[in-house]
Amino acid sequence: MRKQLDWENAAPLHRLPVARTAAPHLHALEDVIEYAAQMLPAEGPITGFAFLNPLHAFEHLPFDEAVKIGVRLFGGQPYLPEARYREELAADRIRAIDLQAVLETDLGVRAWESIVDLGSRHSLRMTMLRHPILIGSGEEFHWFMAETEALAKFRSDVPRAVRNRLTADALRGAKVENWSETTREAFAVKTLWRVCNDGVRSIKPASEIPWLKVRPRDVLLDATGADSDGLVHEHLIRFCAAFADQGYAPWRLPHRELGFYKSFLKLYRSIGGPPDRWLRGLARELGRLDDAKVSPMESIHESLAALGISPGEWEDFFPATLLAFRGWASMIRQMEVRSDRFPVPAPPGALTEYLAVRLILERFALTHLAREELIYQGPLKDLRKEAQTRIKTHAGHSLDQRAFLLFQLAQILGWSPSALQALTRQQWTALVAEIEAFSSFERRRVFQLALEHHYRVKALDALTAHTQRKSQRVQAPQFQVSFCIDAREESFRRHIEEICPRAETFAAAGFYSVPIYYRGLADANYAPLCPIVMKPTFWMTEEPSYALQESNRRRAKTRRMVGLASHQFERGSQSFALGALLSGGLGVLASIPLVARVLFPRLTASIVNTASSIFEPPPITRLTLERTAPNPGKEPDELGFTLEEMAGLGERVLRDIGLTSGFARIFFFLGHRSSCLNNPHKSAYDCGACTGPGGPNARALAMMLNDRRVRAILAQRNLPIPDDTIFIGGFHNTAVESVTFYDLDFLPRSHVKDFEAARDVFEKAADRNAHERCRRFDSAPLNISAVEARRHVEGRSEDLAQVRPEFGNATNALCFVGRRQRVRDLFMDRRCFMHSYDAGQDTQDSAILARILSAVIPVCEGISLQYYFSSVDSNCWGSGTKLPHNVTSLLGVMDGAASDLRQGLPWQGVEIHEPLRLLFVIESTPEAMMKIIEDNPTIGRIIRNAWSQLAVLDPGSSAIQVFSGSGFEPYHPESAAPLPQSKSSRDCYQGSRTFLDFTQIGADA
Amino acid sequence: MTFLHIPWLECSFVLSLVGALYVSRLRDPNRASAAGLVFTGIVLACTMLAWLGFYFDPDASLSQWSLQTELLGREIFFIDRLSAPLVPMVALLHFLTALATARTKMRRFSFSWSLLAESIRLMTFSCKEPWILIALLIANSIPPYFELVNRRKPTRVYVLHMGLFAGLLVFGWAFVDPTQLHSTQTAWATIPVLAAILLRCGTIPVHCWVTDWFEHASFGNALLYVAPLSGVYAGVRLLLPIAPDWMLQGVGIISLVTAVYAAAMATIQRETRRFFAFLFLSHTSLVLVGLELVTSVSLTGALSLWFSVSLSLGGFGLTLRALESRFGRLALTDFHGLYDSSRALAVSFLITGLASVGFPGTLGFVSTELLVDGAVEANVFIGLGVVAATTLNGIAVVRAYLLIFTGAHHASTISLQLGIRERIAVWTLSVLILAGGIYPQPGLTSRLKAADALIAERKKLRLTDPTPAPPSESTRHD
Repeated sequence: MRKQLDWENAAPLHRLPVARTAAPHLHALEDVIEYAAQMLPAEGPITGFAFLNPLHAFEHLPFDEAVKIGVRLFGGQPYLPEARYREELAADRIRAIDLQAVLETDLGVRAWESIVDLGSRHSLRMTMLRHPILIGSGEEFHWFMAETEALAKFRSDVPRAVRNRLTADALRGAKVENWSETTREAFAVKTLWRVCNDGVRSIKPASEIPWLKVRPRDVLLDATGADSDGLVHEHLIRFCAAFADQGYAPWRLPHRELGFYKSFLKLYRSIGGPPDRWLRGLARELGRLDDAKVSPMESIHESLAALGISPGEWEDFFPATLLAFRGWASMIRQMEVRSDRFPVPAPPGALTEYLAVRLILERFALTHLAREELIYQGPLKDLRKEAQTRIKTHAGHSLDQRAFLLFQLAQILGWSPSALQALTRQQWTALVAEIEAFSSFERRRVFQLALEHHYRVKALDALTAHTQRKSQRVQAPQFQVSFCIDAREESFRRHIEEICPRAETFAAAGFYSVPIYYRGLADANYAPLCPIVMKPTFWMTEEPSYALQESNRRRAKTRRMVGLASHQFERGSQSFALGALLSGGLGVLASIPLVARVLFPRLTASIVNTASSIFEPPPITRLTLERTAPNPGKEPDELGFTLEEMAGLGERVLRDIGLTSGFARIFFFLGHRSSCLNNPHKSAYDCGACTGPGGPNARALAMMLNDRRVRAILAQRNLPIPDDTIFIGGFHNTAVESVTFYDLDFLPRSHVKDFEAARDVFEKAADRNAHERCRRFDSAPLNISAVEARRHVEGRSEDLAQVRPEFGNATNALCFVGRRQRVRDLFMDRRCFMHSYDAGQDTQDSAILARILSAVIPVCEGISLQYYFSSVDSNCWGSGTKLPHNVTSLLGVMDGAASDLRQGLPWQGVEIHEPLRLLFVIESTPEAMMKIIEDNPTIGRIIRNAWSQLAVLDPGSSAIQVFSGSGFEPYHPESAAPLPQSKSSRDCYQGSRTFLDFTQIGADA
Repeated sequence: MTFLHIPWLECSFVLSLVGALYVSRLRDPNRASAAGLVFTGIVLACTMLAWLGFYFDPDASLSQWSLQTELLGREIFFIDRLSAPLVPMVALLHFLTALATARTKMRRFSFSWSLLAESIRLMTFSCKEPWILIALLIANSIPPYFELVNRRKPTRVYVLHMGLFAGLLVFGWAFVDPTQLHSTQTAWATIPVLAAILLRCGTIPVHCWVTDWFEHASFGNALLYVAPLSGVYAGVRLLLPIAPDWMLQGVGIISLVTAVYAAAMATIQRETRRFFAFLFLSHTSLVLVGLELVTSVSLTGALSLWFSVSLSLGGFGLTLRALESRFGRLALTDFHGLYDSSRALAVSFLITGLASVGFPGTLGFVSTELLVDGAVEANVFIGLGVVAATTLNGIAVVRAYLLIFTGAHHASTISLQLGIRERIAVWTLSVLILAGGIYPQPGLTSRLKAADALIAERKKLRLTDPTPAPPSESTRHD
């Protein structure tokens, strides 16, 4: 970890300027706390799932270095388990040539150096990658050696010739005439084991420097097994949940308005009932702090002194302390710095106050455990040193285990006992060091690179081959439609184009460059609809059409009454007396919808929808689009945009996607969202670019571009839109495969037939898309029809017991930014984010590409790495399995009734994911791309530090260049063979449940 | 004389003693293990044949062929309705423990002491003569002492408790007059006997020797010492026939408190051995609760539970022992995620663990059901207590399962699946547990007869006593 505060390079995400609120001698402390806070995840409330790199605070470091820090600070694995990579190896998702290529690049000239004359480093590492190396803890190892035939037989993967050679070498000089084959083999194996053992024992053991952990809790845990965090968190969970509550709790936390610290002080200084033993004296201490008006920062300072944490250790102590309970800590931080995302935010300084409370509790917990478990009653500041002396030291690898590693390799590589016996002590040292340098971590790193190499080769070979075809825009398109960049829309677009070759599709980030705080007609609060890295500057609401305002008032009143009744009912059901009464009286009735939702999800949903239509908002609504006040805000006249702003936003989107001419009569802007029941992670299936349900932004943009006044401004800016072009906003529901359109009442009669024809295409495409998705669901048979598939996905989304309504972006691996015609008719297996961009229409300095990528790269990288980390170590980076999740505070989920907030994606959302760092392929030139990397620090960090991969596709040819860390290098396709071809998408995927190769689709095939 | 008329029971005693002597002379642990396995296997076969002999001729017609009659003039060791399944069960536990001993543990697990202890245990479970039984119970506690000494572990707690047990038992029984059951002297003398038995069963507050024993002994010997429930056997043979109703009620309440307390403790343990020790204590106490209610239903339930607890906790212990041999002592403070490394052990853990708490479809289900019925019949609060203890035990088992087998990824690449010997041991017990759950009638019939015999014996003793019985308010059903 960094030893100095690295403000210059730290990721600026949600960074607050440090407001000096404390006395001068505490300024350094303020700085360190702010620095540590940067390391917390920035996901925010679960209602607006934000896809972010969990290690975003370390993006200024190369990926491989950052994940090592991640291992240390977060305790999470950065790569898959070795066994999983070997499965990929067996399934040909990683090939030997991928491993070779990666090793050669990784080792450079060191690859072919000889290791004590037993072979090259490259061959040694290849062997360690291709053959599973058995390792285990001390007990496991001893059990294995005693209970198996490890010392009686060669490994099963040792070739016969090698066995014979090793056996002959071991038996040289021995009288073995009467020995059976088995005895000879056992003798040879034991001889080899003995030689390896002797060799390893001849090495001078490395002296380990004792390392004092910075948190007293960690040292005490190592010494006694007692965890003070268990005691502290038990109280913090309850208090944090009450403090952060967004309206779920029946009672409000007393004194919440005073902030986290004051509220805690006032509540716990006068707490009634029998206190926990370890909290004896807490009330008195809190009373002192409260009466003396000790500020949170001063309290932290006191706690640090009491715990014996010197200023030199603060930089290590605070990150470790915050990350020990990172779910709640990060939520409190987000409530403070992104208050716009919370109906009930936290006042500034909440995280500092949380830390102050935490450290007070830690002091009491440590004092108690030290007394109970360590029989230590000295000052707390000396606890670490005392506990350190009581830790039983563990050597890393025992000598036997080191010898066993060598023993396995000797068998596989055919190192004979005599050859090994001839090694000097220095050579043994070098050999063992070489082997141990290629640790499990290193092997997995290489495996990961090979997995990525394999996909990169497949993707770039396919793009090279496919872009050699002549391509052009659709002439006189029947209709045009723009989707979100989301990988799920890749297949939907493909099916539309297959069904209607005259349809032209585009893609842009699903918020369509309209960053808004939006409140729908039935919403209680504003929600930001834009990428998490942005803060909206505009407010917009939905309101009923003038004629339906009275109807809306009635419906809203009914909705409110029903909502209040159901809320009271739910509260009552949780109380002791009413709960007993309700569950006894109405419990049986409650089981009816429960069972129906599971057994007949579609039918039940249909009934519920019909019933709820009584008090739903009226069907005809409009947006508060045009602003009259000069500045945007929440007041009625501050809602919306000025005409200039509308024109600016419209122009930006059209130029971004390269649509400045050739407009069809109808153009659809579609956002996307998902719907499912009983799923706290529902928002993770919504639009990642909107950080919520897409649609309103698309609707707003369509309305803007339909405005004649806006078109007039655009025409002045050399972007004329034909009068007969109509824009329609809408959204694609990616769970049930439906498309909903807004404002159809404004559709001119002249365009009705065009619209209906397009709608039919959407319907057919939805059937086909459902069919393609169903191949991933084990519960859907592979021979399911398209119509049945549609019903199946509808049923999944309404099934109360379904934990996988859809797989979201779980298949993502690639992002293509360029013209659609370059990749049209290419089957990409729903793995590709796509953004339309025409380099030919860009400015000299690639300003359009720069602004596209400024959103696309962070958003797609965030999605990609959220999936990556959540799948490589679901328990650490993800939220683990959904099964024990419980919603708390309307903010997040806990495991069971009390745990840290579980952040990241649940296992059920990532189980089909193949963790790869995203490969961006941009249709541009290396020079333009290098300039963007230089100019945009965020993009520079992501690309230079290998958090994503980058390649550029030449706009005029099929030449590809790959970014290699410092610059671009020409890519030479591995295979000159033509791409596989199919007549339709269905032929590409039919009958398969796994990842598929790129395939060309179309009449040519 | 038929094949079954051979005195197999006596053969099992002799063979286990001979085995102990023979194995003690072997220095190579592998050879000692093989020999120990052979002897425990033969002893198991002998006890099975003895049981079959009783099964086909339950009226003790075999006694005419007994060597004891010729040598001692009377039959001291024999199988009756109570001990019929318990004797082969003890032998089975010894055999399976020997079978499942990993090579890494062979040096620590003394096969000779185990065979000697088996011999004493078999004699204990086939003896009704009070003084001989008392001598055997005391002798039974000697091999564990040497186990602790040999392992260089502290013996103070164990010696203190077992010394007290022996002293109280001898002292109390010395003043018991079986012909004057209602006399004040016998009533007072029963109290030390009762205390000794409660101590041997690990009833609170004298339970700490059990956790201490599990802490310091090898898991195999610790298991074999407690799993047959020798203390309960002593209670049935010595106390049940003579103890007044009020005393049995007291024992029932103390046992119930222990059952609930130990179950609650099992749910919060931080280490597997202590967790197992408390689980065992809770189950022992539940069996005692059923026995002390002395109704036909509760007694049948308790006797069935005894058998099922010995088998299921025996299997559970062997599973934990197999885990320990691979991973060392496991802490129950963190998730270990061992499922992928040892799936068969996970399944075995669940089957045996859930069987011990009376999961449907297992041997423990009907026993627990009967026990609860009997307890509710006697007193609804006792019934609730039994349910609470069983529930807590269930929670403890599931908690331990989740902590040991789920919740994390275990990084080892070594295959740690069950070996063939462990597989036989664990699956034998699992099959017995499941078969007993699916087809419980024969076992229940056998236990019902044993229960009726115990009640009849108690009635007979108390009716033949000329001393007038004190008025009792108990509402016993029989």
